[in-house]
Amino acid sequence: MERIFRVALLMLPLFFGVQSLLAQDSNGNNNGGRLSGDLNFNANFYDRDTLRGASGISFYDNLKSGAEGWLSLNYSNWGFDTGIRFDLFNNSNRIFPTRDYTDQGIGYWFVRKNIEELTITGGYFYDQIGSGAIFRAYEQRLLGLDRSLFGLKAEYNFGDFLQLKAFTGKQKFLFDFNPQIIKGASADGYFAFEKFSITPGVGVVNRTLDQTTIQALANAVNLQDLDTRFVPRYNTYAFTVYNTLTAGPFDWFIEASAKTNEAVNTVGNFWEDLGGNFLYTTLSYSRKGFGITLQGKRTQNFRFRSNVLEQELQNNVQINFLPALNREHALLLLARYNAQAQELDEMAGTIDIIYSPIKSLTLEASFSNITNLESDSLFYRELFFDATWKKRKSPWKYHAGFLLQDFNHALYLQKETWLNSLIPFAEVTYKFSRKVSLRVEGEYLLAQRNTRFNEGFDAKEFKQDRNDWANGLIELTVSPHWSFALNNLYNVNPADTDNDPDRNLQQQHFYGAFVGYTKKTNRFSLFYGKRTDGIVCSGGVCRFEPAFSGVQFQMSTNF
Amino acid sequence: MRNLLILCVAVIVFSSCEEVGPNIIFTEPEAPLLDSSFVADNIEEAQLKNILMEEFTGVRCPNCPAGAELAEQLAAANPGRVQIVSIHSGFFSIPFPNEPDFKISEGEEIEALLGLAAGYPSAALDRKTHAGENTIIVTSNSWQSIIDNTINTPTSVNVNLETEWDGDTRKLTIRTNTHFTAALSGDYRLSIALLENDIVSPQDVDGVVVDTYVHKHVLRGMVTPFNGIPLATDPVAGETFLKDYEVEGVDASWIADNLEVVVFVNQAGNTIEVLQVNHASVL
Repeated sequence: MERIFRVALLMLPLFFGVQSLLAQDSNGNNNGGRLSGDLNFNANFYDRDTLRGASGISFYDNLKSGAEGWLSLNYSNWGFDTGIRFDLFNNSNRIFPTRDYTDQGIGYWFVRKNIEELTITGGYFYDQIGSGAIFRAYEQRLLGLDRSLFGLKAEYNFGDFLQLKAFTGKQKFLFDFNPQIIKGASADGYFAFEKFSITPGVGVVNRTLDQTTIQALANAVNLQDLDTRFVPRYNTYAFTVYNTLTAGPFDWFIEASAKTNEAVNTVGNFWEDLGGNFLYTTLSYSRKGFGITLQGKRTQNFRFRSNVLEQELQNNVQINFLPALNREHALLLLARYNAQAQELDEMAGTIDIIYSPIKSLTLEASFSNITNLESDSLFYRELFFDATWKKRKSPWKYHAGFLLQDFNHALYLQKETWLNSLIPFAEVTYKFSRKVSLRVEGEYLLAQRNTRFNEGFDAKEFKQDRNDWANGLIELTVSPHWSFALNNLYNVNPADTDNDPDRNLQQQHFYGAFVGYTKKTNRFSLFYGKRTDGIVCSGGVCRFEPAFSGVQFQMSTNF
Repeated sequence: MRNLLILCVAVIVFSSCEEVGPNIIFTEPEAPLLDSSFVADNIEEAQLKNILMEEFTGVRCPNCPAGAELAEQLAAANPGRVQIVSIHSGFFSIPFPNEPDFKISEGEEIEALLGLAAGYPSAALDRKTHAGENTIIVTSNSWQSIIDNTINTPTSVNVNLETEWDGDTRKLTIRTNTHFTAALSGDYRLSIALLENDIVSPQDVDGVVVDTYVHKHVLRGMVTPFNGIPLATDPVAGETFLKDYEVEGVDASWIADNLEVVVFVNQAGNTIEVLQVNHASVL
């Protein structure tokens, strides 16, 4: 393995001219260094299923299989850190959920060196300023995102109370780069006092559009009505100020950001010259057995993208990251209707309370409300409650609760108007022994909550997406190696959507079987079954994925 | 330290705030003298498709005369079917001292609209990125094959025009008739350009400035804005547009006998392909 890495490492000086690496190597001054790495690999085998919507796209109709993998190697020696990652997409559905994508190559490499208090990095890097409101370069493989920056970065530490950072580069886009230049700088402090500590920070990011983009914008603007025309700007600046205050049981984070004007595509092909602002705050209080978190967010025209013309992979060209305040649920039906953070117009608030009246019982409740800025149009609202009961030394653990959800289907998925659901759920875990445990889970998504309780339920007359769902899961865990699960998701009363003739109205089962094996850092898993289409989200960034039918193999390891 | 940093950031930011942006039209285009439309019962037979050849050139471009000659040959090989418009723009078009300036702002804007030429001589053929090309504006090596490959492309819009000239007041009247022979989707725009032929003026020819060089098809001005005026959205078969324009006080130095009016229809949006072009002499 080390030999493979040597080959990769030899390539790096070609980019960077770090000749001393080679010299020291040939002189035998190599002290061995430190090598680490990891591999993630997924393979999908597609089984066409017209009944469940797993057809009509290349994976099911023609290709039948696809894979993606990431192999990272990191090496530290001679005071340098270097890393390289090979990315592979073979007929993969990871980038475009509905069509295949194939490419392979070096998806990431970097060289980093500490010189006293200075750290310099060249190549690809991931980083963020504050909460990410003006800049966040990160990777989220689940959503096919790799928003690293390719360029140079320098960081300087003044003791442990101030860090300055500056960088410039282009944003990675698949195996290429977006042509817009991104520059940024930030200053982060840390000051501790007797009773409290603060970590304040400021940041600025500039994006310069390229000539081709500006000309395309000018062409589009010149076609608009005269009173809506404006001169598109090459440069946009985003500023942010943030602070975390920690005082005893209190923790308060606040970030305020603003952005200078740029051409923003608000509806269709209509462009407006808009500046924006963003405010985000989190206040939490916790003591033994009790915790409360309040969150608020106000977003006004805070879309900040490298390639402003990109239509298909819009998540892949964002420079910043706006968090979602609604809970990210783990259970399948609770997570089925998820609210993506809005870039242009959103007001969101969340309260979350955890309370343990006695040791064996934990109660949690949360409420989120997301509207437009005028608060006259509801985007999303949820009320969540759950209770966990686990007596010490008892083999039984109970977890149950419900979610009430109002989901603006028209806004998030451009579908019908609303989804008002009530989702009760329950989980029971029984530990047979220290190693063997069994978990059983049940959920029911009851759509048309309001009409059902007020006027009676009629799947044909009132339709909300696909109406009711039930989900059941049974999972056996044999620590530390094995895990087995069976689940079935059932569409109880599919809506009669006469305006959508392609949709199947049959009651459908989406079943699956899972087996996982782990030994030390090696992990393998196999899934066979069907999954319905839906929104997949991670931290407020979401996308729609079509139904799945077939076999999924995953493996991961690190060393 | 913090103050210093903020100061530095502020200096960098504010010193770079002033930008020269792209060209945006803020004036209402001159209203046509006549502006009417109707759906004709009788759908005309589709015209043969003519090719619009926007050639980018300059008086200081030594290779451009050879390009102009090639363009003339290609036009002659397809009589009446290739409409050349010579656009003087870029640094090659800086006039010689005390000599006429053929560079006009609309020409520069059209070049920017089409994506800037990588080198001269080059031309846009029907404002389209043709098969095997990466750009709309292409160098002279590609002209012949593109014309050969596209000369038989059918068109769904007929463009006709008439001109009237009042020599006393130097008033030019242009009457256009645009008739869609098939239903189309999308937005379409109409452009009217005024050209002058046979202007004798210096030109660098292979490194030698020739004072008696004859310039042809020189873009003198646009009657519409450089990117045209809105003509139709999702036109139906038979939809016909009559738009007449009057240009008063045409520049006295332009010779009426040599003036030529070019009218064309192009798509608007992500593609700006020209569907049909036609021309008429002023006299």
